[in-house]
Amino acid sequence: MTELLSAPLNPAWAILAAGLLIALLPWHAARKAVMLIAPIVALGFWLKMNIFGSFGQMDLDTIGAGLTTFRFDGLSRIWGLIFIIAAFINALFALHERDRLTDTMSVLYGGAALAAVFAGDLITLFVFWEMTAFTSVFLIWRTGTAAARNAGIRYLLMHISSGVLLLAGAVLLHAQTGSWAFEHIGLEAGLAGWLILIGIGIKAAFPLLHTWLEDAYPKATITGAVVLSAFTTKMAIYALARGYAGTEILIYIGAIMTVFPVFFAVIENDLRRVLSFSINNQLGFMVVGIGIGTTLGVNGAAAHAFADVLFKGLLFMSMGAVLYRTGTAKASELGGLFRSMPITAFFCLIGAGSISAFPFLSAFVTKSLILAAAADEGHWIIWLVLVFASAGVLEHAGIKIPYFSFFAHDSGRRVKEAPWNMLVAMGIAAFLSIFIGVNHHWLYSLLPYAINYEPYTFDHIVGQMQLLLAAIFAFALLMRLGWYPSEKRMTILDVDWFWRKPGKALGRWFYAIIARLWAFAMRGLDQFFGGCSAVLATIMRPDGGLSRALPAGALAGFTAALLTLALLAVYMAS
Amino acid sequence: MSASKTPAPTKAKKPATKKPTVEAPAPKKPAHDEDIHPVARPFLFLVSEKTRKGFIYILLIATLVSIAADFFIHRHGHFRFEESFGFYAFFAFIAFSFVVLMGWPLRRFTGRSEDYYPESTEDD
Amino acid sequence: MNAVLDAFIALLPAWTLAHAAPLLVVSPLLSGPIALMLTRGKLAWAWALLISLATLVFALVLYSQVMDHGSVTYAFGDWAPPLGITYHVDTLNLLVLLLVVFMGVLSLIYGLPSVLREIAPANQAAFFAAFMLCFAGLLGVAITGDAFNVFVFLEISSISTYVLVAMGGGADRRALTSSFNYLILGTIGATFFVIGIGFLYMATGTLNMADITVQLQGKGDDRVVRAAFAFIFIGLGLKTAMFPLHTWLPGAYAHSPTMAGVFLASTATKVAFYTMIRFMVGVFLPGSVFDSAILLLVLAPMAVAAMLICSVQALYQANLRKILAYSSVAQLGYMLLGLSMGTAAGVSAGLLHMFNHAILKGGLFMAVGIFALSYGVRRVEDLRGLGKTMPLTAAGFTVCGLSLIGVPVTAGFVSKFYLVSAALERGWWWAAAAILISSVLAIFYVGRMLEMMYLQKAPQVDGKIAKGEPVSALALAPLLLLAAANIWFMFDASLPKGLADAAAAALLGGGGL
Repeated sequence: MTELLSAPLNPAWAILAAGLLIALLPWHAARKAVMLIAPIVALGFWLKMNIFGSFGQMDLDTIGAGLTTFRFDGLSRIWGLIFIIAAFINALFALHERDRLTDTMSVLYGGAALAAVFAGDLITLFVFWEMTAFTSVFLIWRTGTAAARNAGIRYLLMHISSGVLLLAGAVLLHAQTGSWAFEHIGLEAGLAGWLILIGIGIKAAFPLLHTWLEDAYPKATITGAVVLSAFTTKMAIYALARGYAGTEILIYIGAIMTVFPVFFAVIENDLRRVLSFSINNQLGFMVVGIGIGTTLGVNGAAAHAFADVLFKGLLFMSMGAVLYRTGTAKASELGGLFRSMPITAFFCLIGAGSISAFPFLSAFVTKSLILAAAADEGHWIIWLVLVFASAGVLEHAGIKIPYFSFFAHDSGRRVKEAPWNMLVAMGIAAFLSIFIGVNHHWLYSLLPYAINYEPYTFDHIVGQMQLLLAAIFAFALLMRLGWYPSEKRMTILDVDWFWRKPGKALGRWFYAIIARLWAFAMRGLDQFFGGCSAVLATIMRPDGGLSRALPAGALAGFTAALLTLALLAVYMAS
Repeated sequence: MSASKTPAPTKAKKPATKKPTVEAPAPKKPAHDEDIHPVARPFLFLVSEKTRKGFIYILLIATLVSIAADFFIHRHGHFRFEESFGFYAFFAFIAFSFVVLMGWPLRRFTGRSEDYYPESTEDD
Repeated sequence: MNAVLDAFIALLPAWTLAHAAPLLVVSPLLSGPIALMLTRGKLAWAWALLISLATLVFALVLYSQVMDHGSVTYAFGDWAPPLGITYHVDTLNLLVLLLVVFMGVLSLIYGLPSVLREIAPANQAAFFAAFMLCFAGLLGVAITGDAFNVFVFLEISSISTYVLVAMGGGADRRALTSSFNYLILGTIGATFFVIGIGFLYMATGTLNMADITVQLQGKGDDRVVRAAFAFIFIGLGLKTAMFPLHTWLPGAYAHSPTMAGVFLASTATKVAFYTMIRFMVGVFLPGSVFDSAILLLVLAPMAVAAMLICSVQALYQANLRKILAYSSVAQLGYMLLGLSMGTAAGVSAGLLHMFNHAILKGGLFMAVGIFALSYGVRRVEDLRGLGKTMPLTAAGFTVCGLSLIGVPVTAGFVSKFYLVSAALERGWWWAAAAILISSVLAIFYVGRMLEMMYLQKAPQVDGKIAKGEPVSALALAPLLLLAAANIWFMFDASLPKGLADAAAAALLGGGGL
């Protein structure tokens, strides 16, 4: 008995098993109980782990691979913990929701992400990598609109391709090294290294590979968006940290990722899409940290991923609560909601402050690690870009989200405060964001490498306060001058009239210059493929050329022709 | 924000004519007390006309104070330029303004009517 | 497992052990006419099932003998091999024999409800008789060591197949034209094949396959031998539904009676594929210039074309069985691609894919047949909501469908993995790319069906979900068994993989991967 208790147990199994159980449970209350208990059990498994090592070995003779399903080390430890916490918060947030499909899929999705993080080899990683795609897509589809259905299909396509690239790279890598182990890969591995990097890059929303994120997350269900925001992208960051730490190109990719979403978030009207841009921007910081690759850089990426799951989940929860109560998450239709939802507003402000790196909130102690790592290596341009992006974060996530939903001018909506379970879930995330900000030593002790960094120095606090205050002042000034784009837009009455007309569509702004350029390119491609597919359809249709029943005589002729070809090939061969 | 001079009730009528939304649509008689969450009541001063107008000055003073700190104590940074007077404040002000103002050309460039994607017309 | 088998075999009388090879073919062959005489459908079915179970015993005996001795040769009338007719069982055709026998038994168990429904009572006994002849023919093709005998059995199986397909004419008139088409093309194929055998006989003076190989030594430049090779290749290519000679297949599979479709889809082309391997790298000397030329210049391009074009065609079909049929042609492309690599790894991967494809496509045809019996499902859109209304059948369909795509944790993944590895080992990156692209196409045509089943609402009658005919356990059990096999063979592929590796090594030397 004691042996059994002391054996290392993979927390992911607890959650995956719970997911399967939930699929079978017909009772709402029982499902919810399992959803809440599973992360607690998983946390117990996690706490019990007092040694690093690889466990859960399995032999997969069919393809000659020895699998390691549970690798517990400095890197997977912290990711494992935050995924377990996220699973619990998500379950709480979705407590009111009566839907067996989303219950099952969100738990399986979280379990798969957790299992992927603990995977010690590329085959296991691939299996759970794809599983996250197949399970999470239901959280998008379940919204039930045509837009969500199509976005889900696009999402699934990109994520399946991501897995296929990963697998292709793994097979190539295996051919080179004879090993399936998932260790540092780097671009030294040649084509295999590139394939896996692009596969991970899709899930990490690298520039140009990111469209699925801004496309699908805002269309997910209310609870689905919260669940989605926690796992997929952070799992990809983990894989990057494991396989590509110190790969220089990541520094530049990450820097671009921090900057471009900032511009689009300003003019985006759907606040959940603003948060999707914000995910993209925060991932950029982590990617830079990994690209720098020093122990401080990787520590920074890990710490920031941890903090991001909490504050981004918090922000998505607050917008989810708003959407749940008002039926919209569009800035132009919201405003003044703090009158009805003051507690949600408060938690949203904590999240906004956390992501903007206010002192004593989480990003202050995590993002600064990445900036310090960049500065230590002398990347002064990158450093400036990151500071610039920090000002941008404040704009869209720190100010825009809370301001346009809870303050600004009163939309007149008077709704109920969010349900208690949502408030508790937000409360936990808010508490942890503050806890990390204040007790940074606790988080630092969980990081993959030993760390010697003190965020609370006079220099750091004063510099950061200068940045925050000046930026908020700039916001107030621009608003006062009427130079802020959203404010201006709201006064365009004819457009208001247009989208309020019944039966007319919503979704007003186009989200990105890249979407625009993309559309240009796609239009060209569409015409090309449109032409091709028309031809294809006429050939391939059930009554089309290729599928029509040909007269037997023609078929005989066909056969004879092929025989001639074969005879020629045989005679010509020398 | 210029519209905030209009009295609250008229302001709130507009939303009331919006198409109905999932949960409680905006009530006809909007603003006042009986509908406001008790927790929010002590904070209503935040949106009073005076606070709104005065807020920008509070911010200005706070910013100047944080910059003034540089007079008294030398900030240490990784780079020389980082240590220059009020660096973070000026950089952030410019960066923030740039980001926001770029919204105009960007929106001209990327803005489209909402039914640009045919699929989104089915949304509601 | 083997201990149980040995104990079981020890119980059998000595004559079954000594004559297992001929009994395997002769018993179903003779049972056909008897089934016809039984006149009643159910009676004929019981008789056919009994005989097929007997063949299962003989096949298991052969399995244990091959495991013990490496191969079994049975000389008829004790005439020594080059002169007399022999039956020869080695690891290569053992895999095929086991496949045919198992799928035959499962098809029979599965088929009773559908035959009772689809075939006129007067014809039911005849149907089972034709089925047994087809079954015997396929076993005969696989087991015989005599080249002319291959032709004879090929004709027995083909002619009975024409009959089986045409019997679908009661429910679906298109079965008649499909059968006729198949008859014309099948006959052309058989003719080419027998012409090739004639040429071979001319060049070597023998019909025993092992002896032909010996006689062919040093005759690589002989034009007659080369012509023989080309004729045999095309003749078998037609039977294997090698692109573009596959045009008979979609109609024959889609319009035949359900049970015939299940059995043919999982065995007929597989046996032809085996014969192709037997001739192209067994009888003819592998590595000879003309052999390599055909493999590289004709077979490989046709295989890739099948994988891509027929996958797209499957995407565009509306009829479910047509989708599965076009997908079969594409999957045969995978197998032929493995063969065209001409390496042990390639042939082994092709054989493994043959095995996996048989169990998965059999399962899919079974599921579609059950859907058709219950709800009259014919087209993709008819699948709406079946995930809810027929959860077990839908689950079986889903597992087999995922295996068809090659999703990990299903058998289909293993064989595709080996195919890709073999292609890369050979340096054929384009072939690996074609496998991946074709798999992506499979995601779409399978996904389309799964989407209908699970994400669309079931059709309603008066506000209630329409009720279908109850599913017979007799039909459901084989489907679920095959679905389970699709998962089992992902984790323990030692049986098919071991046989395929041994066969490929025996043919081409060297080990598998």
